[in-house]
Amino acid sequence: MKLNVNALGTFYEMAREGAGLAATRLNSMSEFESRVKVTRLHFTHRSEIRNELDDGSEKVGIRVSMDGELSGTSLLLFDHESALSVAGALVDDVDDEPTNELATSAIVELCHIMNSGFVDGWADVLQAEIDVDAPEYVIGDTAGAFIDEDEFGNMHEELALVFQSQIETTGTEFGFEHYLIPEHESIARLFETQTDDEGIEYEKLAGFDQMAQHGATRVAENLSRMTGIEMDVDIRRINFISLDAIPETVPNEPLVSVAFSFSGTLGGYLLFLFDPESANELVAATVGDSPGGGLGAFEQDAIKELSNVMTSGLLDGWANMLDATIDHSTPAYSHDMGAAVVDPLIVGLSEVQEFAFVFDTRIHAVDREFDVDIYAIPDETDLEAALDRLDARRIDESLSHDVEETEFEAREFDADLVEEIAAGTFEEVEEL
Amino acid sequence: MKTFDFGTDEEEATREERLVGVSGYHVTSEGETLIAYGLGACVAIALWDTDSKVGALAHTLLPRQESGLGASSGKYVDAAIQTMLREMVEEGAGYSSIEARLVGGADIFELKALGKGVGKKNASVAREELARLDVPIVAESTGGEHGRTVEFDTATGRLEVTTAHSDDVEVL
Repeated sequence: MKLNVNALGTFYEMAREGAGLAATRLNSMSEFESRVKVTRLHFTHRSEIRNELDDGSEKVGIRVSMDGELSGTSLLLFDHESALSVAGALVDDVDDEPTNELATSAIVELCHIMNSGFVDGWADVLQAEIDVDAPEYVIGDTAGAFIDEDEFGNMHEELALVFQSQIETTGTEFGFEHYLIPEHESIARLFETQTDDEGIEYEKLAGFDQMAQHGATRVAENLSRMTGIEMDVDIRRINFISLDAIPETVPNEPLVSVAFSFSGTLGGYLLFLFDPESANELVAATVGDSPGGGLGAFEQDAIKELSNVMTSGLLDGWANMLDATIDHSTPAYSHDMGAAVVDPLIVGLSEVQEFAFVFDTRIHAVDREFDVDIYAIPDETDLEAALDRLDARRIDESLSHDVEETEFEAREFDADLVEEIAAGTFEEVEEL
Repeated sequence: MKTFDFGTDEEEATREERLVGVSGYHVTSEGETLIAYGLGACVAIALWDTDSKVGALAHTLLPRQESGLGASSGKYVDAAIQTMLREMVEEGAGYSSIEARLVGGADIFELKALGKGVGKKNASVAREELARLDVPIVAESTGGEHGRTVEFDTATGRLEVTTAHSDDVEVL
């Protein structure tokens, strides 16, 4: 199956509009003033979906099975508190658990109305018949409460496609997620009808992601070695998203960020985002506590150098797999609102594309509050061409020989380099 | 069970605050507060009719419609200004009493691949387009290296600019 960017764009817009319709219906039925926060079309390992639903927090909502030209599962889930609030807005007597018959009926009816709008939108755009089963009330804090093993089995193991929308309300803490998880065979048929010969081969994207996963794991291991903090890869997924929507995926709070551009066979941008506490902790672990407790010039250079090492590791791994050369710029530092650090990169890409594949990785400390988000946003045309060159055998060879590890270790973090950078005497690469 | 009037699907709930996301714009005569978060190189264009209190805010990404892909009017500085002016007049604004304020257009990162002065270019095209259409700019907070957030109260015309680097609120 080939993923054509135009077809993906159509599906993405459809999901975004469907979520908007769901939010409007929620507004009509309750006192909540809600809007779609973000819609994602993402490709992820099915175990990630399981982990996300299995996060220990109780969720309440409906599950709907779809059949026909689009088959799969649609889940509309409120978190526990939001479910109580919604049920309270719809019916008069709601106790602490959203389990009494009235509350349950209210939640099912609301979710069903929201979901119908979503599915109708899909059917209209696809000009297809989609049969929808009666909604089933679901409640629980484990993945099994929402998706059964057969449904997991129908997803692509390496790179399941998920449409996910978050709805937020003005002035109220509100948790609502909508997942549309198509069966792989079903979505493959749809892409065949929407796509001509051009596009990204699904299996190659899956292979590339497998390699990127390996690279992310290596970065986490090396970060552990450099800092002494045990790190692990928390999230790995490929988002297909409108460039306009990327700022909404970033926390709206001050973040320490380091950006790189990369070019060669594959061009684009790489962005590292740390919350200020994590940035301080990273500096303290590598070059010691800063005298002022903040991020002065020396500490900023340390963050830049650490990010530089991580960038080399990631991009060397990609270059090895693609049998290509990928150069990257010197690091650019900013400490600013999340959306503000993303928008220059979006401006840079917007002249040539509307959508982007965003390789989204979160590396977190195993036993403390420390994490780093890494966004890689390749140029869309380059990505298509690069994956076209990708040889599946090379992925296997790369994975079995750990080609990128040698390259990575050659760029171990060196505190002396930070001193040199701070003194303005270090020049590693010409800026692109 | 309570009963509800669903209205039309397109019907939006009235709200006091409205977020204007990247490439979005909104025109209102309802006195809403329009908010654009985290402007980096993007430029927010606020238009307000001092008489009718019709207001508008765009969160623009690129300078001119010919410079990018996609048909969203709010994405481009020139198209957003033209579209908002037209819709404001349709909402009852008097063209001659509309004034403009500009926020954003910073250079957050020094990356050569981004080109120099991307944010400045957005702000400069906004000035050119507003001058061409005879809309006066009464205030602006543009340039620099910091992101900005705009809150524009269209009931009073008060526009607040905040940054991550200071607790001070700049009022334009």
